[in-house]
This record gives sequence, C-alpha cells and structure tokens, in this order.
Amino acid sequence: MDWGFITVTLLDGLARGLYYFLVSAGLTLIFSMMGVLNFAHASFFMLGGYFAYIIAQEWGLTFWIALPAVPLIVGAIGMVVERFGLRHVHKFGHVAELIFTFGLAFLLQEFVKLVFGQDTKPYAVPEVLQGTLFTVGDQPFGSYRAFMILVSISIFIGLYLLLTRTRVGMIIQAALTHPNTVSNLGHNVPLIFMAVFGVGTALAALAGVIALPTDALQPGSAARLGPIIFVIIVVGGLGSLNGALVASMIIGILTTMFDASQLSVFSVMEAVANMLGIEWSLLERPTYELRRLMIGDLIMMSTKQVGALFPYLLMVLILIFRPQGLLGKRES
Amino acid sequence: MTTTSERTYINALDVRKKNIRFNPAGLPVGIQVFMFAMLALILLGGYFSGGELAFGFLPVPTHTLLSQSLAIILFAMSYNMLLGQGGMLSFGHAVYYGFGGYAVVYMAYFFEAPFGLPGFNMAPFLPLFGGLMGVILAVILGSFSTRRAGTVFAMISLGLGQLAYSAAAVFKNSLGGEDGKSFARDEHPFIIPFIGETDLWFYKNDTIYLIIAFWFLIAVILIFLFSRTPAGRLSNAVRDNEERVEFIGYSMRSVRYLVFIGAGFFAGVAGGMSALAFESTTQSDLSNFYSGVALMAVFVGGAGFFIGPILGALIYQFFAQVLPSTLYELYLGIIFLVMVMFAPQGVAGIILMHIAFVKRWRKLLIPYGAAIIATMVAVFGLVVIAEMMHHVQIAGASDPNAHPLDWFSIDTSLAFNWIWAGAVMLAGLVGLYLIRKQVSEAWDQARETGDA
Amino acid sequence: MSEALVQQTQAAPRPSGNAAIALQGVEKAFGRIKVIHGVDLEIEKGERHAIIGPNGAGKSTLFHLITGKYSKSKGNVFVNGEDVTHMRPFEISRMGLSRSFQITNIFANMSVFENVRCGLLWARGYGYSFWRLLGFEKALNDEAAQIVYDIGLEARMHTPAGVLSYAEQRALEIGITIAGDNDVIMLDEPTAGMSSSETTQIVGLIERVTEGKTLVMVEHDMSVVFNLADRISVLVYGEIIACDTPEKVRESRAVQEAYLGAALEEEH
Repeated sequence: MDWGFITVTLLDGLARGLYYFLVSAGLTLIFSMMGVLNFAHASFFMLGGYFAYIIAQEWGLTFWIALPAVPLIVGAIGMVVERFGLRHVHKFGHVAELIFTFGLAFLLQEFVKLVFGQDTKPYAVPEVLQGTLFTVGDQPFGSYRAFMILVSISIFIGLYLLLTRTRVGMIIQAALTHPNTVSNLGHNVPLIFMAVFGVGTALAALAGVIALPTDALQPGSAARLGPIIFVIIVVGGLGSLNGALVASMIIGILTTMFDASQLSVFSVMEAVANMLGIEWSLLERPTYELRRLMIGDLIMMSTKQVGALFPYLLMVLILIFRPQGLLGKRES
Repeated sequence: MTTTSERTYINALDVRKKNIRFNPAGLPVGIQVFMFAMLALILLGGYFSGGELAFGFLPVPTHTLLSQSLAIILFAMSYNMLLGQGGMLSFGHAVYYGFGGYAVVYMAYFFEAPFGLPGFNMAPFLPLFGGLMGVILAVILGSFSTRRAGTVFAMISLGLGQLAYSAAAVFKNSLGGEDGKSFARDEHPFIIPFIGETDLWFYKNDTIYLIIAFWFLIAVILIFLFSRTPAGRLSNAVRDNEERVEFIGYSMRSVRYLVFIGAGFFAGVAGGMSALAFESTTQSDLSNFYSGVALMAVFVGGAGFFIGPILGALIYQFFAQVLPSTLYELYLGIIFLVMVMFAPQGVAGIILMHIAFVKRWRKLLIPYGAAIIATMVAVFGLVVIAEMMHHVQIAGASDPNAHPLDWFSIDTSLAFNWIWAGAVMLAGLVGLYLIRKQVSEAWDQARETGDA
Repeated sequence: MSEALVQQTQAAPRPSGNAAIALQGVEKAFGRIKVIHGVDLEIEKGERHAIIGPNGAGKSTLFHLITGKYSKSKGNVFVNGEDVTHMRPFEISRMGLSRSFQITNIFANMSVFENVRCGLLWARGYGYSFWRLLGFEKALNDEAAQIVYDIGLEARMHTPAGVLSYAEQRALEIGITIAGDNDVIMLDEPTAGMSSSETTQIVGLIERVTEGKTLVMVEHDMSVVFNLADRISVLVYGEIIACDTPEKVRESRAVQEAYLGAALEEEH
C-alpha cells in the first residue's frame, strides 16, 4: 500500500471536489431561489477560463489580476443574461427556462469556438505557485493544488458568513423559500434574483479560473463538466447545499483516484484473486472471443475509463435506491 | 313538453355526427388519408429521381441524403412524442437512436436466411430490430427515470445519455469505441417476403431508400394514430396537468412510462434506418449533441404539432447539408435561442397562428415586412462577420480572402470590411428595435384571432 | 378554546357499513406544525355533506388527505368501506371517488369535449390502450357529449379549455369530476369567485349532476351550504367542532364563537 500515493491523490481529489462544489453550489443557489436549473452554468465556468486566459496570458496582466477580475466580469454577464434573457422566458414555465439555458449553453460553446478556435489553450501554473508544497512518501503534492483548496475554502467561509451573519444574507435566505413574502415586505425580489444569479455564475467563473492550469481549456470544457455537475446535484439532492458538498467530494475524490491509478479492472480482479489465493483460469489474458463480447471490454477497462463512467453509474444507483438524493428534500 | 334529460339526449344525437368529424387536427378523415397518400407519392418520387432533376429542373438530393433525412425526421418525431405530446424534456434521446443503429449493424451480419426460411432475408426488416432495441432500452432505463417529470427527468436523461456515450468509448470491441461499428451491404438481391426475388439489390442506395421510406411511412402513420388513442390523449393530459390525471384514475407515472417506451421504439427505428443507409453507427450517434439536435429540431419546428418536428428536421438538414458553411451550428443556435425567447410555439405554431389572419394581410404587411427586411439585413451582416472570423481562425495567415456561404469573396485583412459588415449588422438590429412595437402589436392581434 | 366548547365537541363515531367516506383519528403534521388534529367523520352514502370553517382551518388539507395527495401522519381513511389510507390518488380515484379543485385544474390545451372524455376513459375500460382510435368510439363520444350538455357548455364544445371564462372553467371542472361512475363527489369551493347569478346556475348544476351520489363540498357561501347540505361539519383549527344538520349547526354556540371569534369572549 503506497500511502503517499493515496494521501496525495486524496488531496488532489479534494481540490477537484472543492472546485466542483464551487460550481454546483452556485447552481444549487440559483435553483433553490429561482427554480431554474441553469443548464448553461458550466458554460460560465468555461467563460471564466477563457477570460482568465485573455487577461492573464494575452493581455499580459498576471493571474493575480485575473483571479478577482474574471468572476466580476462573468458575474456581470450573468446578471445581464438573467435580466434580459431568463426573466423573459420565466413566464413560460420551468421547462422553457431549462430549454432557454440549454440553448444558451449551446450558443456560448459555438461562440467561443468562433472567437477562440477549437484548439486547447495552454496555460501554465503561475510561477510563484509552481513546484511542490510537501511530499508524502515519495509522492509530491503540488503547491498549486493547495492554493486551489485554500481559495475554495475561503470563498465558502465568506459565503457562509454572508448568508448567516449579514442582513443581506438573511433577506436572501428568506427569498430562497418565500419570494412573495419577501417582496411584500418591500424588498426588490427581481433585483435579488439578478444578484443571486450573478453570484452563482461568478462562483462558476472563479472555479474556471482556478481550474485553468489543471484542466484543458477548449470549447468542449463546458460540455465535459456540465453533466458531472448535474449528476452531483441529483446525487446530492436537488436544492441541498450540503448534499452538493458531499456529492462533490465523493465524485471529485473518487474520479481523481480512478484517473491516477494505473490499474485496470482485470488487474484488480487479479490482485483480489491473488489475495484470496485462488487459481483462476480467467487470469490468463482473455481470448479474442471473450474480448469480442462486452465482458471482455469490461474486464480490460482501465480505472481511468471507470472514472469517466463512475459519476453516471452512481447517479443511476442513487436514482434506483434513493431517488431524492443523499441529502435531498422532497422536490417542491 | 320535453324534459331536460330528453332534450339533452336529442341534442346529443345531433352532436354525434359532429363528433366523428371533429378530430384534433380539425381535418376530416378523408383529408387525412389523402395527405398520407400524398406523402407516399412524394416518397416514391424520391426513389425514382434521387440525385437527379425532377420534372427536368428540380434538383433532388441523392438517395443516401434522402435516407438520412428520413431518419432524422423520424428521430425528431419520436422526440416530439416525448416533449410535445408528453411534456417530458429529455437530453439523452440519442441513446435509443444510437443503440438502434448498433442493433441493426449486428443484425446485418445475419441477414441471410434467418431461421432457415427459404426465399426470405432479413434486409427489409432491419429497421424494426433497431426499434426492438429501442424498446428494450426504454423499458430498462424508463423504469427508474420516469418517476419524476420536468427538471429532474431532464437531468436524469442527460446523465444516462452521457453514460451511454462514455460506455461506447469503453467498449472498443463490442461497440467499436469511437469509430463505431460498420458492416458492408453485400451483393444480395432484395427478396420481398412471400413474393420472391426482385431486381433490386441490397447494396444499392436506392433499394435501401425504398426500405427506409416504406418504414418511414408506416412509422409516421403509427405516430399520427397514437395521438388519437387513449394513451396518446392521456399523454397530452399529463403534459397539461399531471396532477389532475391521477384524479381521473390514471397513474401519471405509468402514462409517462408508456410514452417513453413508444418514443424509444421510434427513435430506435430511426437509428436503424441511419445505420442501414450509412452502413455504420458511431459513438457520435449517441452523443448529447445529437440529443440536442432532436430538441432543437422539435422546438424550432413547433413542439406538439404533428408537422412541427418534420419542419424542424428539414430546417436542420437545410443548415447542416445544404448551407455551404461550417458555422451552421452557430446559426442554428442563434435561431434556437431567438425562438425560445420570442416564438416558443415554433414555426408550425407561427403558421397556424396566422392562418386566420391571412384575410387581413394588409395590416400585417408593413410591420412584418419591415421586420423581415431588418432581420435579413442584420443576418447578412452577422453572417459576413462570423464567416470572416471563422476564416481568420482557420486560414487567416495564408489566404486573407473569406468566402461567406460561397457567395462572394471578401478580404479579411482590410479593417474597412469588418467595419462595414459590423455596421450593416447593427443597422439591421437597430431597425428591428425601432419596429418592435408595431410588430408585437400585430403579433398579439394575430395570436388573439388565432385563438378564437 | 374554552372548556365549555370542548365539551360540545362530538364524540368519535364508529365506522358504520353505510359510510361512503369515514375518517378515524386522522392527523396531519407538516414538520412540527400540526394542521389536522384527530378528525373523526362519517359521511353516509347519498348524503350531501358540507364542510365549512374559517380560512386556514384545514379544509383543503382535509380533502387532500382523503383523496391521497397527502400522507396521513396518523389515523385511517375509508372509502366505501375500504381502507385507502396508504393508496395513491389514482387508486382511490378508481374506487369511485372524484374531486374538483379550488384552483381550477383542467387540461388547458385540450378542448372542453376532450377534457370531459378524458374523465371517462378509465371508467369505460379504455385503460392505457394505444390500439383503439377514440374518434371511432361512438358510445364514449356520445356520453362525453351528453355530459358537456349537462354542464351547459355545449356552445364551447371544441374550444380549448384554457380560453374559457372563469365560470365556464369551474363548470368544466365539475364536468370532469362527475364523468365516469364516480359515486363519491368531492367539490372544493365550487362557487369561489362567482357572482350570485353564476352561483345559482352552478348550484343548480351541482344538484342535477350529483343526484343519487354522495356529495362532499367545501364552501364559504353560507346560502349555498344551508340550501344544499343534509349535514354540515365545521372545521376550526384542524378540528371538527360540530357535525350536524344545518339548523342545529346554525344554533350552535361553539360554531358562533368560532366564526365571531374572540371578540365575543372579550366583551364578557
């Protein structure tokens, strides 16, 4: 057992799970408040990455300028989208809102393709954060990953304090469940909606910025991340922030571990069989005939491929055995 | 003096005659039959003049392109069963399409003499195997994904679609991974069951078109009839008011499940058709993009209307196959978003809305005419700029001349070109903005007249 | 409530064989908030029963509990003698219980005729069939048309339900509710928001179409209640404080106090 490997991979997974949570928390906030499931949420993540790329790389301003600036810019874009797009389709119902955000996601992807091209934009970790922070065993843990964890956690603490300790936060919490009452009390609920949408998209953009050096930036980024985020909120339970956190952690950590390990299902079976001291004829590399069937493909599947499938399998299992999600309340 | 109940009964007798005539499409049965006969004739015409000029001047697409179009139209119609009829938004419908295709590819290996029956081969029935696969998958996946409707259902379908797509990459041998699986249509004669051999050959594109067109016609008729059955009506009811359905004695879940299976069947048939035409099915047939195509086609065409998905699929085909531009996805995306915001009833809905207003076309002429001109101007500017940007991306360094829609040549290195194109686009948008009040008034009037 | 009022509360009845609807010790709590406190009620077959009470007393909640929309925190519900406490709404509906809604709940995109026909489908044995074409089902169509006549909407037979006027929609609501062989009809505020002439028409309609059936009605309009009902239950803060004939209920001090409220008590 290589404890160094396991620990570092766990920490890497933590970093990933945390920025997954940045995105899914914003999505959950928007959903809880406005009932809209923002299909384009991952697109704001992607926009965050691209804006950071422009600001930090093309315009030569550093990553440190991009870090605060990009969420503000994308948050502003989000508010515009809410004010002029979402609000307009709101009267057609939730399904129409979902279709609208789907169209938006699609269009944003095409737009990015047009302006930036299909290729992957390279981005290097900012110099001061390059290198390893510490090593466990002989496995190095990168400083940048630590930075990601630090930023994510600070944002969450800040948000938590904002929501629970300030007056604005109280109003937002109230508007989350009783928008009509809050409106009758004189607060400008449409403004609050716009602000929450902006904050949600800003969070996604922030995640896009910090994930930039670790994730490949290309127009398909949103299409890659999007389904995972939706799986996270379904698994965690729609509308539950805690559920989103738990699900983000599970999926982030496990997929990172699957990605990092060099195993295949076959080798795992082999190891287990060896541990149990079983002589198994199947240990021989599967014959061509066996490979042609799905079983063969399954066995030869690498854990990295399992990592790609894992979130969706988890979602299916949750849907069968616990449809309201891990920590979900009943859908209103 | 007649009693209340007698009077009611007598009036009901009058109504009885009207009942049979007034069916949901508003057209009498005779006209419906006539329209399907016309469809059959058009399809047959495609067989005879595929790839050539009909009546000497009308260019007809090739047989393969026709086959593919029919597959996409059927795919869109199956999606309409889900969305337009049942009110279920799915982001993973391509799963049934793709696996229908895989099923056909596999069955094609066995298309000679199944079960040892003489004078019989599988070829004409291949699309049905796609449908069978679609049903099996829909029964399995629908068992847990149709429990909830609306947003949750959409998310589940997205996840399942992604699961299938990723799985296709993993199963390299059985599903061919990213490249998919293919087969070759060999030199076998097309044998019509119980009638005998024909002069048609399986490997020829026009024979395949005939098989596909035949099943297409049958499928379209079945889908049309389905909406007039109790199950079809109930699916409309669930779309309108799912809670109420429970209080008339039906489980809304069961209704949704049933519609889901039906949609899966026809999607599978469509996928089978596509596999037959192209001799292969690839991973991209399962993709979320392709599911998105179904959604866009149905929505733009008009969800819930019978011809909606047909129009939408044809519009998609126009952009994807006819328009000489690689940016067709961008244009489709813009059209889609604009329609979601301003015309969610789709093209079919717009047409229907204006039928009653046709008599008063004079009123519409100025606002609509101005709006159309402004839109065309804006679109022209937009297309020029977009194509120029794309060109710069692709080949800007070597050749500065872009060719928007293969129409004319424009030098992307001259700043002036960018400026005037941008100005044109802006002018069009400004025009639209100025005329928007008159247009929306005319629009509202048309809608009210259409409703009454 | 004061001690005196508590003593006037009815003793809990035992379920008799002739009860169309019977509730025993039914309670409902949302989280920690108890909305229905131990309701016992029996409604006889063929009875016309009204449930009245101040706003927020829980009348609609009671309806939801009977028809299966809400789960019961405690207690049992019986319809025609069968225990329906854990059944889903569509199962209860198939047993002959049907309800209308306070907020009009119709199929907006379908015509009036089709709305009513949908209400008939299960009762006439069509199930989930996808092989029978409704256009050719003469008997079904005739019956649906008859109901449309009965509710007075024949002029709007093929109009989409969504464009009907409010009163017409309420009439359609009742039409869907009585379609099929439902012998227990529950109407939730059928005359809400209507003028007095519209009310008279609707009440006439209700009387006509519920002849021989059990009728349970939530109503605020006292003239409707006292004219139509055989018995009245008064629901206050989730408890039934009176269940008797209209005359006795009108005279009951408990009911008067509940409606006039604490003002009377303060005056003393």
